[in-house]
Amino acid sequence: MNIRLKFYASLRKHLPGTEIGEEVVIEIIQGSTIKDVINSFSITEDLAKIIFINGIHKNLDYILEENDLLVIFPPIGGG
Amino acid sequence: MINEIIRINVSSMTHTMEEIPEKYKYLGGRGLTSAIVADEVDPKTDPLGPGNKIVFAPGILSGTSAPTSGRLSVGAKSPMTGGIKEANAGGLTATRLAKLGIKALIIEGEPNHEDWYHLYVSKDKIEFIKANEHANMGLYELIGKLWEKYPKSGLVGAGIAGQRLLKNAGIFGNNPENTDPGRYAGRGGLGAVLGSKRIIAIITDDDGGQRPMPKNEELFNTGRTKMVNALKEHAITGGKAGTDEGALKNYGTNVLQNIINEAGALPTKNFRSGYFEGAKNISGEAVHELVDEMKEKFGDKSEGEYGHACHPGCIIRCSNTVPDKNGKLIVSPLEYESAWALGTNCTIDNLEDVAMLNRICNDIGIDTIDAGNALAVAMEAGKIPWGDGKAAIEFMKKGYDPNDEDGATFMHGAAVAAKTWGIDRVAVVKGQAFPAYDPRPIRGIGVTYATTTMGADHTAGYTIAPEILGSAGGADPRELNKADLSRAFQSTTAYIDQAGYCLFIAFAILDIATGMEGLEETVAGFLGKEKYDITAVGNKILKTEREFNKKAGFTKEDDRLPKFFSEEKLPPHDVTFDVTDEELDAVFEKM
Ligand code: SF4
Repeated sequence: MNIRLKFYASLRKHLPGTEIGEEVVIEIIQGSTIKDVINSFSITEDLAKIIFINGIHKNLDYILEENDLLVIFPPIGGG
Repeated sequence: MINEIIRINVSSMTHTMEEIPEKYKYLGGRGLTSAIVADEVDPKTDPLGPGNKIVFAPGILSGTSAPTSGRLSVGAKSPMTGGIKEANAGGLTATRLAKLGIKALIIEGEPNHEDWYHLYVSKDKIEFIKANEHANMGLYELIGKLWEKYPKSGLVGAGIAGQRLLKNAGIFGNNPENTDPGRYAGRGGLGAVLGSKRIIAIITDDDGGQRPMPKNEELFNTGRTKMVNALKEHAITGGKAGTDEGALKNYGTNVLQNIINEAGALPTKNFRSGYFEGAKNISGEAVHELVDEMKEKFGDKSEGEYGHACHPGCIIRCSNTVPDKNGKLIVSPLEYESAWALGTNCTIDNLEDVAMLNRICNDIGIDTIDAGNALAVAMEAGKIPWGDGKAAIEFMKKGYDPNDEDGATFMHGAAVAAKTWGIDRVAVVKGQAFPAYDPRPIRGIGVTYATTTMGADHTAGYTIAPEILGSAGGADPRELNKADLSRAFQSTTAYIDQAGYCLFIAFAILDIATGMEGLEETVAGFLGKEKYDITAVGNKILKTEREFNKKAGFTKEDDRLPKFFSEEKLPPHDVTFDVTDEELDAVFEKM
């Protein structure tokens, strides 16, 4: 099944050639969690600090559904 | 001079020096400005009249070796909110004042002349310098001229807007390189208070001054080490510019543009949507790329920069310089709040236009957040087309013309602009415009906007840290019971503001327990106290401010968000602000 994926800030290097905020469609195995996705990109758990599924915070154990928008940020702050 | 309060009287054009009284001995920064304003200013006085006073105070630790502690607090009764105000900023002045042994500089009285003056403060003398030739001058030019005469000096003051007593006038400050007047204690119209005293700039020269020394060096040093380590270790405050590590050093505060957008909470088109397609174009990542691109093209000649420090001694260094296509400085810094207000909120997504709008704000002397909200109001009124950056720039330039009515209305800020132009839709609390987080999907920050003594202000109780950024174990942004969270953040913030630390140390100390210890130990060690409890001290500052506001006439009804936030659903999550009035009132009732 397909999900949509966006990486921001220092994580964007894992999607080479994409523009800031560009959405990439990837194919995953049914039942995959967010953890499985980040593992497949060799992103460590502490770097996948802020995770949204369709704009709502989720944690690494969330099981992805068809066409979910998965957005991941490393630890960031501002104000 | 050591541990002194300098009182400048603009009626008699004289000054006095007083030893710091016992009751203020353990105060600094916001704690001191708020205490002095509460003690000496009648809450009902006209903010631009003879009864108001403006107070400049370095933080307790400013000028010491504590990292990231060189912040300056400025306080007065606010012409914008009608309540007490403290705004703080980096720049050079806090460390200069601290090294001169000045705990607070109070400007009071009513000028009985029509002239403009600068105030020169150094070890040997304090004097008024006639400055009529500098009135109504853009601030980029002004700071350049002042540094020719007073090299390396700290500069703060009132720009064109402040000199004309307009309500959105900020207190500008020069950056360490003196390339930009953009270190603003921007909010609440304090520039107009200084303007009412007919002072343009305060020039501080710390030649011959001394670094303030802690009373208990051991405790201070222990705390300092803990603080430095926490700031270096944490992924947000640490790292290195130009590497994968260190969010603030690489992307600045404007890294939030994309995350708040993805959370569906980025106020777009005057708070009509929580998502802006163009956000990425004006985000911290976009600035980072532009800086890299210009460096590649022009090498060291490019003035673009990230990982810049807004004051000597900051090790977080979130500031930046946005270059134009020739590598020349447009503005420094471009922060999240400014890029949002002048960009997203007006649906402008051209980075160069947004940077230029910020530059004009810096040049004429106004706060960017209220300016962006006022621009959106001008768009509501049909004076500028939505999303048209070039038209917005032309509109803002009206501010230079003292005879242009729209320009003056705009420079009063969003609340006055809305009233004057007959627009109902304006996001303000206590007359001060909202910052860059829509409170409908993120409830805690709405509680802070509503209840802080400052008028709508995110820094006063930055619950975004747990609600969105996962700090301190995280908090659900939709949860409605946020009085405790907001109160805790408001209180800790007051303590940080009093210490002179930058609020951004919060990311590290909320997650690293020894960092939090370092906060208290540096302050207690400096003051020679065994303990200096964070919550108790923070609460005391808040109570002083709250009491002032009460006497100024504020009631519970002033602690509310504009109605449309509870009535109109915000896409894409279609949520309203559902926090009850009782919950809002609990912030101070349960303190
Ligand atoms: S973290 Fe940023 S705003 Fe804070 S003191 Fe450092 S450069 Fe200034």
